[in-house]
Amino acid sequence: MTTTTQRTSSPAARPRGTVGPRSRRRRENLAGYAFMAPWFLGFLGIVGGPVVVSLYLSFTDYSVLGSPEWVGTANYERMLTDDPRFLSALRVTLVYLVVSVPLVQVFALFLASVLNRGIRGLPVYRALFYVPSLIGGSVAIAILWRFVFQGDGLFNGLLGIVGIDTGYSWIGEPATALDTLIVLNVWQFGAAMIIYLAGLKNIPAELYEAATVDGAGTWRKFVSITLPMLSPVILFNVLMNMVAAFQAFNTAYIVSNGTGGPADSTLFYTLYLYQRGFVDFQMGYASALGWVLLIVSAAITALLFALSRRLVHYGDER
Amino acid sequence: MHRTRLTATAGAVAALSLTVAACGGGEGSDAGGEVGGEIAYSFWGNPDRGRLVEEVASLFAEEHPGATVDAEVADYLAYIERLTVRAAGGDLACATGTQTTFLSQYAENGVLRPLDDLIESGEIDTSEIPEDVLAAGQVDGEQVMIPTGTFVRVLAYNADLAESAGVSAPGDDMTWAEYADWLRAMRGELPDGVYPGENEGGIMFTLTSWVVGHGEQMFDGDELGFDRELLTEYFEYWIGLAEDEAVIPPAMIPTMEGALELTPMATRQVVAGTRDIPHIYIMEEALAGAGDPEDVAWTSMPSESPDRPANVLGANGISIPTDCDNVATAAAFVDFFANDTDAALAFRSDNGILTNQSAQDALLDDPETPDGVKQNVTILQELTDAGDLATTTYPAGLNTMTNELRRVYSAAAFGEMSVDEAVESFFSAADEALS
Repeated sequence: MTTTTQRTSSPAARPRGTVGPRSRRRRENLAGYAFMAPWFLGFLGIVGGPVVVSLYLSFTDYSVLGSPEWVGTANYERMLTDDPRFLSALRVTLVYLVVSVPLVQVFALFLASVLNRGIRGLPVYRALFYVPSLIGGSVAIAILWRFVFQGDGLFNGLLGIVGIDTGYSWIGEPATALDTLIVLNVWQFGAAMIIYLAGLKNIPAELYEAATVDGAGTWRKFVSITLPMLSPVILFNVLMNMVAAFQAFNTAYIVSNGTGGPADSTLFYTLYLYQRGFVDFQMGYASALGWVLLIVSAAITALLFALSRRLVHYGDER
Repeated sequence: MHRTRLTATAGAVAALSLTVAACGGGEGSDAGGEVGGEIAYSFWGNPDRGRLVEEVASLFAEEHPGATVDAEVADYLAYIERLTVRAAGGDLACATGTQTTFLSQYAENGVLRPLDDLIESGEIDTSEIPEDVLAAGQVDGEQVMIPTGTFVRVLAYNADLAESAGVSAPGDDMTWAEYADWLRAMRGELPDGVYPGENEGGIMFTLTSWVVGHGEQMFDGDELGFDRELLTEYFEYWIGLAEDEAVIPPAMIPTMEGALELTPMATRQVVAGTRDIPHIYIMEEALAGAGDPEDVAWTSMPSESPDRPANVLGANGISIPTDCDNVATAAAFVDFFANDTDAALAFRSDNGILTNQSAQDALLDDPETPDGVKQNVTILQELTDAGDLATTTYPAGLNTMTNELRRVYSAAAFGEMSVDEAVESFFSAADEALS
């Protein structure tokens, strides 16, 4: 029986004008590659090629207007041994990441949990909470942020209403300028919230019912059911927010007028890279900065994935 | 997905470089050739300025049938970024807007065409532009920009607020110490929340006036033309004024860096600060618009000697890149922009005060010239007639030094760096930028 089937499906036994499964698969694959080709060519030309070139440039002294000159590892050595602003930029970015990414998750998950209780007007609330994600990264909001947190800004006005009179410029003082940008990032929790909400809706209700029957309280259900079942979504949100934090540029650029001030307190890594490349015309050094950013962010991503093997629960695991 | 985004970040710089490499250059020059065909004029500004330039371009097309100019406008920062990328790719517009502050960067890399032969042949007439102003467009002795508009740094002050504080108008020959005394005299005499002066320790133009007024030069070849002691005094001067609350505190410095209409002086939070001439009228308008129609007056920048004017002059202008393949038309357009009276009246001195003295007179005579423009021209003519202008060189690397000055002064003012460290850091950055 088996032998017969093999013979029937072999090309020799196939009637004229028909196409076998392997050939059909090959044609389908070719069609797939053909459809992918524009993206693939674009990737090679716009991303892949420049990435390779940037690796080369990172070993050169390149002022954009002249020709690159090979300097070996000098850019990397300078970065690690003779550039205090590199360390400042790295520190500012890591503080921003370590503080704002968890805060975004907490806010987003908390509000998603509230909205998941089937309250009235859910679509309206969902849309309202999502709006900051749409506009939060815009130039207009960054400019607005300056006016909200400067000495005579809206924030101090609100504090004044409750009897706290302070002319403190939250955005003008090095001690608090970065905090205002973290608040701005946390304010854009809407996208993460929508994803958490979708994740929460996918958790089977019978798990909670069973836990209730067993006498579990709200906190126990959250820790033992919600968090494990939601862990893949949490991993996704943390990764996405982390990548965005590494790439943060617009707000710091606008709020500090491109300086990273006051006193380098908002000097995000990408802003420093921009300054080196486009203000100082040190494109070779800027390329080296870009590669270090890639390596650091890739290392942290790999670490997260490694941790996820222990901490993330996938439903189909045995 | 993540890898793609990360890779894109790391390669952003290189992507631009590749874009640059992909752009082709022009074919060369045809100086003395026939005027015709299409060229582009790129410049910075807002859409309103774009419309004024289009008007000038129309007048040029009427004057030169067969020749057209395509106006390309972008806001200042975007323009500078684009300029770098286009210059690297040999893709600059045949008429390219340039400024003294960044001219050297491009000229020294051979991106801009020397215009001396076009001036000698008469294709570009510079006879109506004062020598000092024309010199602002030279790098290493070659004319690489025709200055079409000037800006001069002067000391502006809210005359009504100053009077209400009981101080007399500052004189034209004030020293820096006298300026500090004048500011300190206003403390406690002003309405709540109003400071006597802006905090200018991190502003390169103000440092330039300080250095020139002390009889030194900003730059001497490939190094700074003044010593560490002078910069130390400068930082201590401003930090001292801030400690005495005679100027705004360091935390308010960012408010000086935004749109002109929102700076402390324009929002009635400060009495005095240095400004370019055209800013004076804009601030008066801003104050009037906010319900405070007060007089913004001006005087010369402080200087240690009346013989050493410190009103530093800069210029905006037009350059022709080396790769331009239609030099004759570009030169004709530059000449038209710099000399034609109708073009001057149409452009209304929108990007610096027109350098052409006949055009200045035409603006003053024309009843349709806005008051602000007339005021700007009048102030410039007063300074020019009195010989009260100072010129300086603007070397490549100036932007790096400008940023570093702002950064180290801010750090010193907040006490996050000592004055000595700030001075050392600035000199170190300047050495690197100028070398």
